[in-house]
Amino acid sequence: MGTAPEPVRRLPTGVRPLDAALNGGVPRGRISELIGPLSSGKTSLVLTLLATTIRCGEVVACIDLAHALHPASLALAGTDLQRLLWVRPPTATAAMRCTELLLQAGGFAAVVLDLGASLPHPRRSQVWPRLLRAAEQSHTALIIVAPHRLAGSFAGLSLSLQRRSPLWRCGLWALFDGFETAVVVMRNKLGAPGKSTVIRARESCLSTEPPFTLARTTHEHDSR
Amino acid sequence: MRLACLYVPDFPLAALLRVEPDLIGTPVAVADGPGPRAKLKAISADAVRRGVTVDLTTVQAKTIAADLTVRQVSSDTLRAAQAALCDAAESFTPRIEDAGDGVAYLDLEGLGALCESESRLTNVLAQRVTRLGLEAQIGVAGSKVAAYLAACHGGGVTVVPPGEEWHFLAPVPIKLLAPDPELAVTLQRWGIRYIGDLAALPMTAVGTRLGPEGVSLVRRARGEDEHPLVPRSQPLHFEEGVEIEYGIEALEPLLFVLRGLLDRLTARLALRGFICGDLRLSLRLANRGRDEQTIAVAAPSNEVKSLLALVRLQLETHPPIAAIEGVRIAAVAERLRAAQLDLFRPNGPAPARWAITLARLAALCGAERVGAPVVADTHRPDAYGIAPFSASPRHPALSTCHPPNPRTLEPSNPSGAIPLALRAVRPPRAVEVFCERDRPEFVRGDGFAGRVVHAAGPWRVYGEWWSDGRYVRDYYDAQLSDGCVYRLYCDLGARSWFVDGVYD
Repeated sequence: MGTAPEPVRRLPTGVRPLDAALNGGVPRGRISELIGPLSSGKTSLVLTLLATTIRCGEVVACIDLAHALHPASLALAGTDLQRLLWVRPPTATAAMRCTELLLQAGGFAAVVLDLGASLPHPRRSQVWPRLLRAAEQSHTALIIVAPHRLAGSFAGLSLSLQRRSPLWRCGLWALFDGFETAVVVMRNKLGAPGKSTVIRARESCLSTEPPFTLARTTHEHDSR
Repeated sequence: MRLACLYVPDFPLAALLRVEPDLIGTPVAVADGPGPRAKLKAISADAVRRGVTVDLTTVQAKTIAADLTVRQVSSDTLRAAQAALCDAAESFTPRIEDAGDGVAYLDLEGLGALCESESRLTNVLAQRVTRLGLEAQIGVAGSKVAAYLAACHGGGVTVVPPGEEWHFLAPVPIKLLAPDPELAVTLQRWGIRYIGDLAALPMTAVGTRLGPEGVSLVRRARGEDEHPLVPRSQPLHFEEGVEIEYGIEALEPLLFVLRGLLDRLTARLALRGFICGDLRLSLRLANRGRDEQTIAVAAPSNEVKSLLALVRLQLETHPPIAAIEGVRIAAVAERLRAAQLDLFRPNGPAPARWAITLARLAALCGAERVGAPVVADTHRPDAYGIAPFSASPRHPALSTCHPPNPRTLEPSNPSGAIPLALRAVRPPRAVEVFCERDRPEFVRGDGFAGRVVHAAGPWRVYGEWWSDGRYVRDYYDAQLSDGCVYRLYCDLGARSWFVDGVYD
């Protein structure tokens, strides 16, 4: 008689409809992909996931090949930035090596590999089985953020974010308020693929006041 | 009082073999200077077997044994070997005295709890000295002189039981006390060859005939110290150095030398219970200059591979301007602090393993590219900082940075709304913006091009008017025809446009 398989632990994304579609969130010990073009909300979604994970007391890492992490965006979500390791590798090869090192070190709940538009060379496809094995051993969720799929069949979960429409507040002053995005589960080894949900990345979701966050908050202080 | 003496015979030779272990088992001699007329100071057992003796010149020794390797030992090498000897002693007790030239004393009082016997303790001490690349003879007795003579005469480990110093020292030859040559001749004429004979002489009669020097010698022969043990009180300093006979110009040979230095440095640190922090590299150049470099170690570690990778990275980015004739490397000693784990929070990375990982990451990417992000204490929109990352678990209540905001998003948002994030473009990319009635209409630049479909702004941001970093910018949010929403700004000082982020 074989033993029952160990249940897969999951990291909640912080968005209830999406967590419901994913049976609880992003699986730990697997490779997950967040793919989509710019302004599709993939950065907003991954930062929300990191903030939710940190709030649970976990330690997370972000390997930022594109040097695109905006600490103020994370801080606005109430994240303890001291629990986030930010690595800015100079090349794609170094990024892969850093990912492997962090997965082997263990202790991280999630490691985000943000490749931006710099995609690894196709010959580096042999890194995915190594990264998957390291993620399995350390029970770390490896999340790849890229414009399109990279890990192929080694990915346990692939979420495609499709841009719908930017949200503008019209009035005396037009204000950009975010955008609406459709999240489609393209591949799911641990559940049913094909599910989709809509999320809204909104600047005003943090506050009931006018959305003077990010760059706009600086105006008042600097004019002293 | 019980004292131990660490004595390294042929100290210059031992210091040389510590730096060049490949020479062990070969005929080697240490000369006191360059050139063929330099005299030999110390010779190895293999050289003695070939008929080489001390006080021969280099050329004479080479005539007797053609395969003899003759080297000079730099002061850096001698200093490092002596420091290593003291480190081995100090790993037991802080009450040690550095007597120089391969001799160190340590106070054994109170160390009985560490080992069941003094001989067991000294055996462990000898093993620690061996671990640092030296072979020491150890003597234990009630005084410094008796311990020194026991170490020199006994060989290996010699423990003189309390109160039996007199019996032990009696058959030891007088030459080990290193008397003045004239005094030695007089004593030989008197037929006094052993310490026991000298110690039996009446002190007053010796004082009358041989003066104060004779009295001092008799006191030492009786095992009485002229000076008590003076514990050293020096700051922690770990440094290794080596002089190179020929200038090194390429990086790989230099790294080969540095690997040996780091090996010995980390062994000393580990013996004292420290780990290696920042490194200070000092290179003596062939043009009589000196190149001093500080290498930041993001996570203190004793792993030589990671430290060497950091050094390589530093030397590749800041290569020395001339050939290198001497290398010195010093380490800042750090303590590896044990983290108190939290019962109610998940464990982070293990501190020891994490330190190595962080050092490797720093070696791969550069120390300034690894850390925890920090919101810079400025109103400049594109400012950010990076702080040392600590994986140790902290209670949320102890978190000093960014306390939970009551207005923040709930852990699971039922509405499906998430905070909007910006992808920074670093450095801001210059673009050409065509405006109509002061509104951006078309954006063109490297990787950005399109008609502005929708725009919001401007929001004027200015600050640091009191310094050279003054900025005045008009910010816009602009949706281009490619569907992306960019954050643009017009630098009013330079009258130029930039893209510094994409909403994503």
